[in-house]
Amino acid sequence: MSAGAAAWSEALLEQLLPARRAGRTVVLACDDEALAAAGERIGVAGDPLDDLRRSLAELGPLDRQRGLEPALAQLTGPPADLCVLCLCVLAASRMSPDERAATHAYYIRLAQVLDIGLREVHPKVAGMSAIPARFRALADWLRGPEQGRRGELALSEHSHLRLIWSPISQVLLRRVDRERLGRFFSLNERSLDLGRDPLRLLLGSPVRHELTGPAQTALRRGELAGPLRASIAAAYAAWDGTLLDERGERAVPAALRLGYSPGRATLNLSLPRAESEQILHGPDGPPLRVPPTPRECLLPLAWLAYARSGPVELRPAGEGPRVRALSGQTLLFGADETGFWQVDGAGEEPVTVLTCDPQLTGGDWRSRLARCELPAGWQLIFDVEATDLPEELRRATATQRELGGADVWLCGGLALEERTVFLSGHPPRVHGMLAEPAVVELLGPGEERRQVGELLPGEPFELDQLAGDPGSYRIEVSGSELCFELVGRGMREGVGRYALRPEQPALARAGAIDDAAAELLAPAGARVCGAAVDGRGTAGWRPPLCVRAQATVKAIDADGTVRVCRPPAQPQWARHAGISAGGPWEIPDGGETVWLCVASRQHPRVLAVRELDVEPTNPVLDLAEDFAAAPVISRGVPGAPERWRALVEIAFEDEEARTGA
Amino acid sequence: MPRPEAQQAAHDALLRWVSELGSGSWQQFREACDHLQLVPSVALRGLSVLGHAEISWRSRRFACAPATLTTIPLMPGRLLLCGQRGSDGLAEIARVAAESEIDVDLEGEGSHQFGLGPRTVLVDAEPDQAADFAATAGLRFAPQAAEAIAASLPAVGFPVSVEPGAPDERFPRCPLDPDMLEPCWDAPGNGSYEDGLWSWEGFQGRRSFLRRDGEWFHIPIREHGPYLIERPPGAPELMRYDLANRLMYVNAHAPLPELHARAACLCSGRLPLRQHYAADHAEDQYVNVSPTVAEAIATSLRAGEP
Repeated sequence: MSAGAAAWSEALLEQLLPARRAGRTVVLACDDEALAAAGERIGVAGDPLDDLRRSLAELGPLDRQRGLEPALAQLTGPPADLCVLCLCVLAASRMSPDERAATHAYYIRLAQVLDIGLREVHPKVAGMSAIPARFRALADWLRGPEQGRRGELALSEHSHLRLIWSPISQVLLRRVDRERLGRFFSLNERSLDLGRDPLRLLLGSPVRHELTGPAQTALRRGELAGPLRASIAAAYAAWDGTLLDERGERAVPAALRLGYSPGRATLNLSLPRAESEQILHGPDGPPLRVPPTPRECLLPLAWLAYARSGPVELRPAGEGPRVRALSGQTLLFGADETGFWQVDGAGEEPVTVLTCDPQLTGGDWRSRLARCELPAGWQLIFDVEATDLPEELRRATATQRELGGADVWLCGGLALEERTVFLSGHPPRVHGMLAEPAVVELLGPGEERRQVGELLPGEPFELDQLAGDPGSYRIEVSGSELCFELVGRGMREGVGRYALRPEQPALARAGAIDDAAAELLAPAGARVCGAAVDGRGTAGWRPPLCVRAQATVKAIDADGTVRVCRPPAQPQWARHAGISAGGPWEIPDGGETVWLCVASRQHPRVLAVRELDVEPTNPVLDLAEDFAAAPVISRGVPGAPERWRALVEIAFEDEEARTGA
Repeated sequence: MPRPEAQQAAHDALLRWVSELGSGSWQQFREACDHLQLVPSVALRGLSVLGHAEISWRSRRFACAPATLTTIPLMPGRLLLCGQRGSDGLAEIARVAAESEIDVDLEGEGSHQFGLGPRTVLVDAEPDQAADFAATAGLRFAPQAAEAIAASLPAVGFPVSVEPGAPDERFPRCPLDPDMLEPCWDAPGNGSYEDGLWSWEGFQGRRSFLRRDGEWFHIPIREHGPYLIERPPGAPELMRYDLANRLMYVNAHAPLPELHARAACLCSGRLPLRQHYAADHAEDQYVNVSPTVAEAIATSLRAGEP
């Protein structure tokens, strides 16, 4: 028993083209994950594709000769035929990147999806001739009866791929694209976890060059930003943490750090996603024990010789994923707070290059060339600008992309990451060197396009209007496009890194330094970081005895003393600063205090603060009599009401005795 | 927005940015201050003396300090929040306070600093529950931070405050008037150097040097300078303490070194207020400074008196 074509079409409609997308461009991005999610909506327990196939077969034979024709004959238009269109798109999502045989590849995938054979004649799957018209009908239906509330379907034409382009163009990221994104995910994991705009990050990553042609075309189409963002986010959510190499094999990402001191370079390897040390075999020598980050192991520099002919990988003795230790002829390292780490491309900051690429080693690097022992043909070059590197090693820098070109650019704002991510509430300003005023158009996170004003020659254009709204923004002005993101949360890296060590003379005048630098001098004494002082101070602190009541309090000490305490007046400086009056206040010398009698006119009460017997002196007994009826509140004193009652009874007995006498 | 309110908002935004960034370069800090229209050196000193951030001048980088709760003298039920205060910081503390069984209140959005630094944020809590609350809210608890810092202050003087080093003759310099502690660009000169304090306009800002017995010494922490020289009788005193009102007055031309100022500021969570007495004489007034802290500061600074 299958769910039925009608149920499938409805579920896929809600899954892929939900309402509340008015004004946005959408695609019918059906892939295996979307199909499974739609299947869940209608309670399909087994393989969703199998169920959908059976649902179509119930409408008519689904075989090599008739293909999609019987189903299309029964499902005459949108949204009923959506399940058929989704199967066509699903086939495209499974395609290989072989663009030279796109048609052939598509029909093979479609036949696999439908579980039928291919015909000898064109089209290879019957019924495909009707598919372009069905997509156009779907677009009309979304515009017409649905009044655009599910968005505007993106349709495009292709001069050669007339029949299959409609479903292919709906797939923004094919399976191979999603697999190739592994390297991008690995390098941007932290940013993606923080919710940074995945599209903005991908546009800035060299990995974008490795995607298939259709995906790269989609990246350039501004109107597909929303669907692309969702596709990349979905792919990241489904990412298994591995990378796909050039041969299509999977590998585990590794972190490579370059160490350097004059005359000596080191390569230090660790596994950021591993939980324990792994024993791995390299191209030669004994096996290497590679620990999880932040511990590291030394990689033999001699292995660079192997990297000359391609990536160097480490393999476990048995089953398990490989680890890519060296990525090839050129390794780039970027500086951060913790050292020189391998990066995927050069951005705004200069990088350090370890290379044997003749294109680079033949350069005139002069003093930037490090003097250290490396395998023949390898060079270590410091302070290399992105412009000195080939295109595939460059990140799309803020200067090139987000900050604009020579005529229009962004400046100011509270930048958090590489001047492309700004703190919400403090966006950058648009500046320009234009001869005449230009309209500023803004495309915000909701993908609504609006004109927000005019950029006047020589004057900055403030973007205060979007100050408080986090999200990804694109500004278009005078043909230039500027992209940036407003976020509420930054990386928060390096908090507490620097501290003062005032008790060590050599360090006292150094100001704040990091722990690694301090270790060299074996510091002793206090370490001050902000208000926190380690190595001194807090051990002797005992919380003072406090009350919140803004009333006179009579404190009964264990020795039978009664002290009258009054809340202090608010200090002048606190009033001046606007600090509210009230709040808990201290009972002086409260170390031996047992009872606190709060002489509040409205709510007189007794606070039990210590489990101690009290000397029944006359002042104590008088006070007990006065507060005989008051409620007793215990501050962790067991049996406090009973203890107070006992004191009150003594007081009354004493009173009777005195009266009798 | 009137100027003090705008300044206050700018300082609060700067702390939020520092907290979200975590750490960064002096160049980034200057750009942020430029955007917020704040003076970078003043803003940074404010963050430092309030225990919000540390700067490493050797690497020209700053780092936010971890969020820390500390106690304030004479206000036992009020805890001062120092250090990291990100976008969701106060809301998160308020949420923890609301959900916690510990009796805790957050004092609104904090008290203004008259546009001189980030707001003072106080948390109302029973002192004996403060440590538990801090742990629940993911904060450090450092009671009596002012006293602890004061107890660790170095003895200002030789060798703590100076390092051998001659100034660069290519840059302009002038002696400092030992009386008023102001640079004397119009001082008569014959090409030789008198003993005393010298100010040097360097490539990366102003530097202080001490010349003693014909020898040059660099003073890495410039604020130590006035406490290393002999001053003429009758010169305005560098600091004084009003025990009755718990006020510490510091000559504005000889501001406290940052760590000393932090000890004084953490007695209240307040930046000092400047009192102008004459065109060339002003004092910074630190409030609620406990006698212990005042004594420790004075002892540390007077150690260097010749």
